[in-house]
Amino acid sequence: MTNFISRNLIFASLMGLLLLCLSGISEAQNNHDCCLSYSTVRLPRWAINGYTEQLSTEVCDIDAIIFHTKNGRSACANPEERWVKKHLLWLSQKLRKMSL
Amino acid sequence: DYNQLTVPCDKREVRNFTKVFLPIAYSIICILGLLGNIFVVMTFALYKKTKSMTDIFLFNMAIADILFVLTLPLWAVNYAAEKWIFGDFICKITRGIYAINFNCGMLLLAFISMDRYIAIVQATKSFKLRARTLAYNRLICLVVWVSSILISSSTFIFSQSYSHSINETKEICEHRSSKETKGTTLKLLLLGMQLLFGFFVPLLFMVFCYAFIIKTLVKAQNSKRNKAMCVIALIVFVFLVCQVPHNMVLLVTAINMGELNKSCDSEKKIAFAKYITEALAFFHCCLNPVLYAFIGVKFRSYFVNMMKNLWCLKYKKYKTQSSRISSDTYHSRQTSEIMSDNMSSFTM
Repeated sequence: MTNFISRNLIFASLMGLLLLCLSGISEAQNNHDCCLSYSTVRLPRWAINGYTEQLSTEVCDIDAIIFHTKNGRSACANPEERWVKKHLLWLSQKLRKMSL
Repeated sequence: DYNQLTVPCDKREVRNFTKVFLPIAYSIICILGLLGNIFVVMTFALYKKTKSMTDIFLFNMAIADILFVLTLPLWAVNYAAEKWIFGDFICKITRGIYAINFNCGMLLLAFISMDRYIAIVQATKSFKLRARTLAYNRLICLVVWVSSILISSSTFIFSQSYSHSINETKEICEHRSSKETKGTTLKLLLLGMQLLFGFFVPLLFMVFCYAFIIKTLVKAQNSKRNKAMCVIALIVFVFLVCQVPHNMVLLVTAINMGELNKSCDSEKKIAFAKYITEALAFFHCCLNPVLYAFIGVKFRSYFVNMMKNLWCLKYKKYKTQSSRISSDTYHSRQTSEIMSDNMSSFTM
């Protein structure tokens, strides 16, 4: 009887530990600046200096494109929107021309 | 029209707070945690020759707590400097150790409550069971540590030192997975697991085991029972006070994870709440030596002996005097004696 209990006990703890293997500390620091939503208006090309990418696989929660404007501000944009994709293409072409 | 543009949420206020608060809080936790847990480790290593299952769990918990608080100075520097300066490898190692020992500590809390449950509630049936688990103690400890290292592997894999998109000159040590993974889903999974095994599982074990222990103690005719029940109440109370606020913040974070259009104000409030409650949760490992080891009469007498000897430097003389009870004598004793012996770890 006791043998049975102890064997079950060890089995149960092993199972628990196995499940535990999947766990880990994931929580991100909360003191970094992140985009929380997207701009509703289109940003004109002439105002844009460059961009950086915010990835949901990193410290922030949503995917976003951050456009840097010529007057030193940042604007969050939805990477799925057509105008954003066009702007990115235009910026990368500009960059290629500069490097030639 | 720039007013309709959405700017990234500026958390400078939070950073100004964490820059001062966290280095101070982490230093206090590190010093107190080291002090208490090193005393526990020394007492067990030098004086306590008879090692019960509980002793072994307490010893391991103290080791886990020491390793955990040793990572805190690095985080204190990280928050004070507002950037990670130790490189990618130290980032992975630090976050890994931090994860191993946090989860290991929580797991051991659950095991300790289960061990006490077997010792007291199953006291009459448990001679053989206890003897058997004592024989398995090395195995169980090995399993606890190996699994704790496995736990940390996910944290180890997904931690990296990289430059954050908003301020590209500053390195941060943070979660990062490959671009192919679904970022929010993975984060949510890891957060859920942390909540489950870092809080709900130990809580469930404690509530179940201590409830049955109290039920047994109420029936028992034992002079020490009121004190024992007080200690149990204290252990559960401290666990709840330290862990519930932090885990509630984590729960709110998990619920809102990946949601669009969160307000910057509420994000800042959650960030403040997270850092304050997290420091409280970390403070738990400074209280563990007091709650589990120093509260026991036997442990205290060993500890007092050790301190006296260290003071007088009559180390060898006392070492040979400390009693040695073999597991054979353990078997032959009466149930009531074993019961009061088991309860000695609870007695103030």
